[in-house]
Order: sequence, then C-alpha cells, then structure tokens
Amino acid sequence: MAYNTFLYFGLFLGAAYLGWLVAPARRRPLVLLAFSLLFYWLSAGRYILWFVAAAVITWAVGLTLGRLDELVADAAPLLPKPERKAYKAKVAVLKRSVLGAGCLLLLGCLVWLKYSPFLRKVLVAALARVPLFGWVGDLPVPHWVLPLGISFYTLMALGYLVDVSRGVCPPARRLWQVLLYLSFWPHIVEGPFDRYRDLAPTLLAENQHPTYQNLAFGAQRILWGLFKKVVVADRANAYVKAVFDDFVQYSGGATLLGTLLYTLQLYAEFSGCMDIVLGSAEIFGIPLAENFRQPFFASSIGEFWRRWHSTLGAWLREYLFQPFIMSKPVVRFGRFCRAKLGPAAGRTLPVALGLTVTWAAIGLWHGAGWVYLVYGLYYCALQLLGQAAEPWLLKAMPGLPAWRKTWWYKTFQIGRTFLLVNVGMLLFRSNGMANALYMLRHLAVKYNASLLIKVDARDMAVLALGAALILLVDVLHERGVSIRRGLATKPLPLRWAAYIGGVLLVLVFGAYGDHYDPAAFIYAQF
Amino acid sequence: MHTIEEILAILAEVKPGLAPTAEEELIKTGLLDSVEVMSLVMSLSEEFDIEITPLDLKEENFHTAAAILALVERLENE
Repeated sequence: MAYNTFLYFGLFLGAAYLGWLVAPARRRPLVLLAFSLLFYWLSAGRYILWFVAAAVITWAVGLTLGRLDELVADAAPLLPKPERKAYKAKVAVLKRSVLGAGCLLLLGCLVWLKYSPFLRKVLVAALARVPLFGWVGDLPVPHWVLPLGISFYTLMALGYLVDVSRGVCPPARRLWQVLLYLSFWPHIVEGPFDRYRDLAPTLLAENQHPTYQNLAFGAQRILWGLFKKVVVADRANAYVKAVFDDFVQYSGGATLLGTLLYTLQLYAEFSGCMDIVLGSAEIFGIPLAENFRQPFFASSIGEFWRRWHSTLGAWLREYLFQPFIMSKPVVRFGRFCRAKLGPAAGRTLPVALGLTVTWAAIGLWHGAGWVYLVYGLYYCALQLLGQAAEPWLLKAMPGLPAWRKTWWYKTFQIGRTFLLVNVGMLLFRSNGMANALYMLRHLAVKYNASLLIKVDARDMAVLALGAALILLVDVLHERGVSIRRGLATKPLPLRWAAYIGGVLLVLVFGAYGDHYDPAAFIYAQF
Repeated sequence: MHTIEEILAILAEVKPGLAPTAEEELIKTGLLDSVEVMSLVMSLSEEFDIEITPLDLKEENFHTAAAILALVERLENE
C-alpha cells in the first residue's frame, strides 16, 4: 500500500485514527500494532512471516542479553572479589556470543534474500576466471521477493540489539513491543531509522492522547509531502524516465536537464515521503526522527550526507563506522601504520579504511549491484580527497580559513557540493556502470542544447514553481522559521484558506492521468 | 596529569589550522565532524595509551578541548 494512494490516507489512516481514538488509552499502542500488522499484510501478504520471524529473533535475543545483565548485577556482588572479574568476563563472552548469533541470523536473512542473486553473479564470474577450475556453470539461487522494508527493519533490529548489549537501553519485555517498534507502519517502508531508545517512550506509552495540534500538524505535513510527491516528483519522472531509459537518443543538454530533474525528483519524492510518514505518526503524537535537513545547503559532501537520509548515516556511523575503527584488528593496523609510516598514517589510514567500508555499505544498502557499490565509493573518494587535500590547500592558500567565513566562498562550496551530488545522482539512476560512463562522457563533450527532448512548457512551468516553493520552504527552515507554528497563530479563515489552497494545489497540479506514469516510491524498493 | 596544551597540539595535528580555546565548542559549531573525531580518537589512544570504547563516543566527551582532557584523565585512572 503506497503512502500516496487514497487507500492509504483516505481509508487506512482514517480507520487507524478512529480505532486509536475510541480505544482506551492503555490499549492504544495495541491498536497501532494491529494496524501496523494489517498494513504489512496488505502490502506484502505472506511475506509477513519473514518479518515476524525477524521480530521474534530480535525480541528473544534482546531479552536474553537483558537477563545476562541481570545475572551479573544479582550474582557478581555475592562473589569474592577475585572471582567476580572472571565471572563478569565469562558473562561478557556469553553476551557477545548471543549478540553475534542474533546479528548473524538477522543479517543472514537480509543477505540471503537481498544479495544472493548478486553474490551468485560475482561468484560465477570469479570461478570462471580461475584457470584451474575452468568452471563455466551456474549456481542455482531461488528468486525471492524481498519482504517489505527488510533493509529498514533489519538495521533497526540490529541497532536495538547492540544498544541493549551496551546497556544503553533496557530490553523490551513483551514481544508486542518489538513487533510494534519494528513494524510501525509509518517507518517500515522507507524509514526513517528510529532508535528504540528514542521511540519507545512515546510509541509504547500507555497514555497516548489525541490532541488537536497533533492532528492539525500531522495533516499539514502529509499535505506538504503529497504536494512534493504528486505535483513535483511524479511530474519530473516523465522526463527523467524518457532520458535515462533511452539516453543514447539525447544530447548532453537533455541529459544534463534529466540529471537535474532526477535530483529534484528524488529529493521531492524521498523528503515528501518522509513528510507523509512523519505527519502520519505525528497525528498519533509519535515523533519519528527527521531524515532531511535542507541537504542542498550543505557546503561539503560529508555535510550533505548529514543532512540527506541522515538517520541512515547516523545508524552507520554509530553501529558500523565507529565500532569498526575501534575494533582490535583495525587498532592493530593503526599501530602498524604508525610504526612503519609515522603518526599521521597511524591516525588517518584506519579512518580511511573505516570510511571505505562504510561508504561501500551505504552503496550496497541501496541495491545489490556494482553500480551501487561505485555510487558509495564515489562519495568515499570525494571525502578522502577532500581530507588529503586540506593541508596542501592551507599551505597554498593561507587566506582560506578567512575565506571560509565569507558568503561568496560559502556559495561556491554549496554550488560545488550540488554539482558533485548531481554526478552521484546520475550514477545512481543510470541502469549500470557502462550507461553511466556513456552519459557522463556525452555530458562533457556533446553538449547541444538544441537537441533537447520535446518539453511540455506547462509541465516545466509547474516543475519550476514547485521547485521554487520547495526551495523557499527550505530557506525558511534553514533560518529556523517554523512555518506550521507560524500558521497556527493566524486567524481561522486564513488557516483554512491555506489548507484548502494546499489540497487544491495537489488536486489541480498533481501528475495524474494517461499522460503520466506515477512512479512507485524509489526508496521503497530498498 | 596532562595539560590542555597537549590536547590542543593533538587537535592541530588532526585538523590543520584548528586552534580553539580550551572551552570553545567543537562539535556543534562543525569545527570537528564525526570523521575527524575518529582521527582524534586514534591519536588520543596512541598518545596516552588509553582505550576509548564506542560508549565513550558521546558529544559531551568531545565538545571542547577541556572535555577531551577530562575524558583522557578519566580513562587513564580507570
């Protein structure tokens, strides 16, 4: 069930709100769970069994980790001091084994279901190149349909288990609590990656109460998300699809416009989806994590990724990048580099290795294919180059630190980041590396603005106005202006005029009908 | 006992050109990002022979040079 359908926001969301409203306060989380499971079942049918299995594993492992902590807390003080340390070390090993088994099971499901076709391709190609084997056969791999949201709920489950094992949050005592946390319908399809420790206090609370402000703010946010998706993203999709599906036909100018429109499409669609899902949760008074923070105001690639899909970046930073660098083998690698190459290498090479692994994971998380790996490593290369060049730049341009505080240098940095991100978008959207390289080559050498695809002037005008409106809202948010809070202080007629105007905008300028091909949410496939 | 000057020297090594005061905010102002924090962690671990764990990676431990010094001294005493 897509979030932009009438079935969702007209029927499902309405029924869920009514059900939640009439239920006694302490039963409201259970109503949310029932509707979450219904949403999953309506969207994925029998594949719900994969999800339930993952939730049961997560709950059982979390509970076991918690019990082991309780065991230490209860038994250790009763032991003589010399035995206490050994006892704690024994339980710590047990905890690591339980955590490892749980993570392996969850990751195993994800890898098997999502990556086995890609791994088979890599393995077959590798074996065929080994002369000793000379093997040219194939490996049978069943073609699974990916369970809805598997990449999202698996990472959230892993984060929860690591947090419980670190003692950052207590384990969920009841299975329904883990089921609701992982399946909550607003975040199961495209995220955001919510942490259990942040979400549980409101999502699982037995004192959820309806308020007019939550209802109004949630509805406003859903409407804004629908505008981005239906008016801007789906309209841009027609042009983007034409250019990327048949790129050989088009000039550099058409490809350039196609790439810019794809950036606009992806931003409007993904951030629009986040507005719909955050608005959906806000109606019930559940604050989900923000996933976007005006990404096109970023002045560097690192900053861009802290503003774009930021909950994925935060998850990878906390549960992959940092633990990887602090792991014993990488620490040993750092010492080796320090001894052989000097202190700077001992400091920077482990971090560079951690960045490479993290960016590769970001790429492969988006999809099982070489092009996604290259997509991730492209950003890795940019970040590493930026870091390596910094000392040279400071030496060559002593005025640089002062320039960085000026508006013109900041504008240059924002423009540079935008350009580099667009190259990444081209890589991401192109159907394979060969196509991406062809498009990039022709973008550079065969620029011919007169050979543009036939463009519908009305479509482009709506797109330009839509993009301008999104930009205006982003500028206001960047300056710390809360538009919704501002609107809430206005007189009733003005507020309702704004709501009705918003609905009309979506209805009148939405990309519907035979001429358009409303795209499925891009991130829903991950 | 270590001095704030030692921490400031390491900060300047990790990020050339960075010369904050002891109480200057490093994280919220963007002077140090997550990647630079990890470079700093590697340097601190080696320089002071301490073990920094993922649980120590809290903003409050790295937000100023003084907080970093406090972290180093706490880990040395553990």
